Amino acid sequence: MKLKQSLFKTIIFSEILKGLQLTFKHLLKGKVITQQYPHQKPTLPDGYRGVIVHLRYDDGAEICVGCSLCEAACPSHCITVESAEREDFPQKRYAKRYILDVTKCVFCGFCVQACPVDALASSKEYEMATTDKRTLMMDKEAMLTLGDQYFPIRQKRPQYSEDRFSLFKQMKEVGFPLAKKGSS
Amino acid sequence: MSELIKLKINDKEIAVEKGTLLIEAAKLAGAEIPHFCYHPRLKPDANCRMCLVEIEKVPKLQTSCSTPATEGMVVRTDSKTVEEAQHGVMEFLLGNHPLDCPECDQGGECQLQDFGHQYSPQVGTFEETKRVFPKEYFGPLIEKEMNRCVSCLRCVRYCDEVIGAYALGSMNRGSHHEIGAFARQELECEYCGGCIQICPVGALTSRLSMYENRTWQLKKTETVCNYCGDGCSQTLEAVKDDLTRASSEMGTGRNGGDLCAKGFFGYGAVNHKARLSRPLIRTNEKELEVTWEWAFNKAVDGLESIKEKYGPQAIAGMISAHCTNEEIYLFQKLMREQIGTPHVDSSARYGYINAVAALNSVFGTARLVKYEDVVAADVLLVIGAALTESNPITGLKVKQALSKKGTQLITLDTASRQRETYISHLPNLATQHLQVRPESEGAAICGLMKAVIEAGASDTAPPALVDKVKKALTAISFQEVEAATGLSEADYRKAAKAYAGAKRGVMIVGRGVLRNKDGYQNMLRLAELALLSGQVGEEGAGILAMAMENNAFGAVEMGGVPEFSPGFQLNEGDKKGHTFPEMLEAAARGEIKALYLVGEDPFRSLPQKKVAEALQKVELLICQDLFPSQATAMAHIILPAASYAEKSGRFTNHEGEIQKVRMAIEPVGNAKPDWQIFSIITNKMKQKSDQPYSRLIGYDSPDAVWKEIVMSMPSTWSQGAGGDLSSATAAYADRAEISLSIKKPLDANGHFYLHVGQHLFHAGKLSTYSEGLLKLLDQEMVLIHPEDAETLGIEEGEVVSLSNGEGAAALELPVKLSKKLGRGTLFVPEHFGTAAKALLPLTIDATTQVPYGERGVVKLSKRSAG
Amino acid sequence: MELAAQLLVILIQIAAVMGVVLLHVAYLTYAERKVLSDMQDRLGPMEVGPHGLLQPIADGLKLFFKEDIIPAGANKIIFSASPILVLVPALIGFAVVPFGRDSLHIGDVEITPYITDINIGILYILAFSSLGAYGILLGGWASNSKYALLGGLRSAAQVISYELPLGLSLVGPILLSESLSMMTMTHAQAGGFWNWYVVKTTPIPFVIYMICAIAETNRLPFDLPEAESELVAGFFTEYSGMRFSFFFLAEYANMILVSCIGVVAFLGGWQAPFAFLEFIPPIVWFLAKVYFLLFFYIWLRATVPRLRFDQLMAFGWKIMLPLSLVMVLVISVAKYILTH
Repeated sequence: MKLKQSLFKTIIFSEILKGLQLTFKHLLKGKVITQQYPHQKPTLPDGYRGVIVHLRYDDGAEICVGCSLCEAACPSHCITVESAEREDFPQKRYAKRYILDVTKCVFCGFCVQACPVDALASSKEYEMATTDKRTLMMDKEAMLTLGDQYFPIRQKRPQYSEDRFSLFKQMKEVGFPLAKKGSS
Repeated sequence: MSELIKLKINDKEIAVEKGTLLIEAAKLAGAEIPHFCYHPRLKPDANCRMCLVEIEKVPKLQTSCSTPATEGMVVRTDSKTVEEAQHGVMEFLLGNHPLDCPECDQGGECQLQDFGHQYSPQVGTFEETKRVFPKEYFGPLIEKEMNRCVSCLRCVRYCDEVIGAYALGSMNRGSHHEIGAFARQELECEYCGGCIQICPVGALTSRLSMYENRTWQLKKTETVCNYCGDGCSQTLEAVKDDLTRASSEMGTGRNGGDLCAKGFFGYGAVNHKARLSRPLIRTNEKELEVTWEWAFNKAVDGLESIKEKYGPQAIAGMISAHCTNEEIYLFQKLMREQIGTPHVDSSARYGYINAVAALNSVFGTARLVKYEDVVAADVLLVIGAALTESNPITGLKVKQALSKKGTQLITLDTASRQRETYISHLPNLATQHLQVRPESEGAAICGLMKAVIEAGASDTAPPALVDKVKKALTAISFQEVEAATGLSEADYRKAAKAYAGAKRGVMIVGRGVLRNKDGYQNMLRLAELALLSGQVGEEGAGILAMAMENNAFGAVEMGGVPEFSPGFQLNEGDKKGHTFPEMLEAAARGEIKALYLVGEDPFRSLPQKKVAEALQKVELLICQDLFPSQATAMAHIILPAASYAEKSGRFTNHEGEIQKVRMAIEPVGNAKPDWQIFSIITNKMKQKSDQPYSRLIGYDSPDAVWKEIVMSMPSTWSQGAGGDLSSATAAYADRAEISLSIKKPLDANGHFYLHVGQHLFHAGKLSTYSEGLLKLLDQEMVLIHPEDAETLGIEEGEVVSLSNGEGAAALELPVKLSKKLGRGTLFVPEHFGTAAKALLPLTIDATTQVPYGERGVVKLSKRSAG
Repeated sequence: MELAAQLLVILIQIAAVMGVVLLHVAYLTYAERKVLSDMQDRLGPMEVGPHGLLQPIADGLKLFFKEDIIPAGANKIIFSASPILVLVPALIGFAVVPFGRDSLHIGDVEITPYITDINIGILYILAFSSLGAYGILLGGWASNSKYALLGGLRSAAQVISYELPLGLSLVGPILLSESLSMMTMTHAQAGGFWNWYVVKTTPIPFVIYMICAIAETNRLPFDLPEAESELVAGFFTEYSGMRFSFFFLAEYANMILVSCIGVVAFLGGWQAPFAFLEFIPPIVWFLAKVYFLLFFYIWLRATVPRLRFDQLMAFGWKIMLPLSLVMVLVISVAKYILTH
């Protein structure tokens, strides 16, 4: 009985007919499961890691202290940092030159995790295609601009004990003790 | 010699020498004890309390850095009490420590980070505000951030115990304790960088390399410094082919980890942008950049054609004593064997040859003393050496010797005994300082000899020598000596007694003798003095001559001088070529047609007119150098050479110790190491000439060259200090002809005696390319004693005019007061211009042709208004 | 005069048929993509033109402008000739397909709904479609590439082994219509769909015909020779630009041709299924049936996986051929019994 049944089924291509029925059903349903990019953009999850950007404090100063920890953490070696002493606040460090090579970046976010002052963040920007490769060697200005775009709410500057920055400001007005001409 | 004692650390039985500190013993047991204030070079201070350990039967925890191990001790470093104590100390330290790790230059090599990682509690209970110090400038090269200080006092102790400059001190107490210069003045120190190296945290860092890199980016290469003849081991740290820092591994090398301002801050000369980077050829007054192939061919063709036209003797060469042994060897091989000229000289000619030739002549070897002997000496006789300025590490060894009980230091110099700042000044530390009048060093040496002979020469001195000296001394009286030098007979007798009576007496001779009139004869007299006093040939006694260049000893040893072939083989007759002054004379006469200068700018050391005359007559001038100079401005072919950081090889310091130099960065631009250039030129000349069966010498590396050098040295070469010198000294005693006379004392006629010499912060011209050292001193000035200045009515900073009344242009310089100078003397550093030297007369040594042009009489006048 | 006019008419007819066929080929690709995507819950081409209607034109332009590459070591003449060898047999078969019933009369000139109606129509088509195998083999070999060679071999083997059951399944309609001419076969199925050979000869020959047609045109489930993931692209791996477009056109033209023949032989050509529906022009019926068969092709492609080559060959020789032979026997016996 079973053999007869299966033989019959084979002869009339019953399984193929079942398949045909299924596809026909889908044809009639007219449902679309694909996303029509670029007309429809995907909704990005909260933790999405796009292009890395630089952040600022709420008073507009850049947060980055040029410590090169992001450079050390990067598995693709795409970050170059050159730091220098700040002219307005001596002994404070900042990144004189910060280059991120987006063509090498794998958007892993290690640098964001590594940054000790939370100066870096992953934006939601992923559309970086361009005809000029030089725009993909992002310098600090470009990254700060992107950061302003994606992170309009800025973090507050941490308050140091005795408000060290006001101390520096005072000293700048009065002049640093023992500073002789040309001794910097 | 020391007995071993047994103790138990963490249940592990170990045996250590008696007197070992527990903290060192623990290393043998594999237990790490965290510490901050302890350092092997310094006396234990036990102020940080981090190294606490638990010792059985002792109620309280003990600091292992100040507790010596005793027999049968049972120590625990991992118990709960110890851990709690460590947590407590770390909490106190971290309580006030700022969160600077991302910014701090010490991040990555910071002891607080390393030990804090393991030994601090997870949660701190410090809730108060951290104390903050106002920002201070501490001088141009040292960055001070007292917020990070952990008050271990290492810097203070280092500066006190090792350097002896006492430049740093503690201020305030408790939480507000900080380190500062005396009375909050700007730091006046020797800038040896020791405090920066020894600070365990980022409180004291180098401003020169501030924020340039992070420690994990650095590639470290251990090599030997290329400034002076001390031969310090230096670790060059580079980031991507740019030197960014120099340091020295504590406890290693001849210097034990100490450096000086030049060694620590002077690396900037290597990556200077004025470095020659491409071969240049002079055509029609313009310098054309060419390829190496072109430059080599032109050089080889030029040399060959001159050789053909005028004979090989028309070619001469001079190499700098800053080059490695291999390079000097290859250079003299190129000159002597390939070209066939005996005229090879090096910058050892400027003074050090006096020492080497004299010592070799008297003792058969120039290797007599090692630094260990200096430290172990009980009497040190330092003649004509401003060690802090010229050879700081030897100076440190002397200071180390002085820290032992009963060591005596006798200095003989024109400088006064006073010192004015924390910078150390050897006569100031001396047990007896013999301040002699200018240019009377020879007379002083005669005086010492007389004193020694009259007190009774040593038994070990060759009798022939004693007789000869006795005879020669009959022509001298102490009155003459007193008149010439300004010191009394009693002074000489006292000094002689101390020196001759020493068990281990070490004599150190500096450029005050070697680069001064009659340098060779004076050196011979000093050697004889040492022999007569019995202070040579015995263990721990000897003579150490200071070299101004890092490889001056090697230059002579490798045959870079006309009187010696490699291995101190004497050249005589035709084989002995011209010395450099003779070369210039010959060139001016038209006998020398081609001159090959390697790392040498004769305009800096010899009178401008003479040099210009000579070089103009030369048909082919090849200059191989690091930087453009007056000589390269006249050269027909300019070849860019690699500095010491860009090649490997060997330097021999003035102890005679041969040390390896290692490549830290790739050669700048298109520069090639000198050994490669010589090898290629030799090859090309061999190819051109029809030498039958000539095998092209191809050296893969300087090691291959060294192998050849070692194989070709005579068998007596490996004899160093400690060998038997009696046969050599006896031979010398037999052949020596000694006649002594006291020259008339120098009469300055009311004018000043000018000395052009080395400043503490610079060495030669090379250091003036270093950004860091220029921050310390970037222009010439004239030093004068304050009392002299007062007499003349001159104030500090005022510009005065120096002239010699013989037509040389007057030199105008600002004045600086210095108590170190003798009355009636002036000092101008030699590093910046040649105008000061142009005021002074030049004499050439009769035997060794060393040019003496550093001292003389000048007129000082206030600059006329308008 | 007559001759010239006739010649002109024929040329215009050829041009028109070719034009229409090629247009159909182009938009068949579009239709395939669209239908396939609809069945797969997606949208297919949408960017070029409204709803991607200009996609075939864009593709054609792209192929036209592509660089002409002949691989090193390839036999240049044969390499260039094989696309033509594949395309021409496909297009040439359209000469005998009847599209409608009535001819158009413009003055003296008669424009027939077919280019020609030779009395060996089916034979003509079978003969020419066999020539296509040459092109495939030669194309694969001339590419000087192992993928192409293997693909060509497989494809040729598949094509010639399914040609037999294809021909044999067509024997049924030939027997029943007693003629090889396409027009006659169509006329013989007049009267309503119960006269259509798909009913009269039982659906079995039709099914066999469809399966063999799918195999002939290298379509799923028989498309192993050009399966992208296994043989890169089969015998036309090394082809690009216009040559590739020829192969491509040839495949789709073959599809349309084989559907046209199927419609003519089994589905009654331009005949309406019911008499009362005869007001709709026959050409519309013809096109509708052809479109239905083409839709079936695409529908099948969306549904079934592909057969492995040995399965394919086994199926063709062990099942299709015996079955078609049996059907020939059955039909001929039945016809004899029913007419006598």
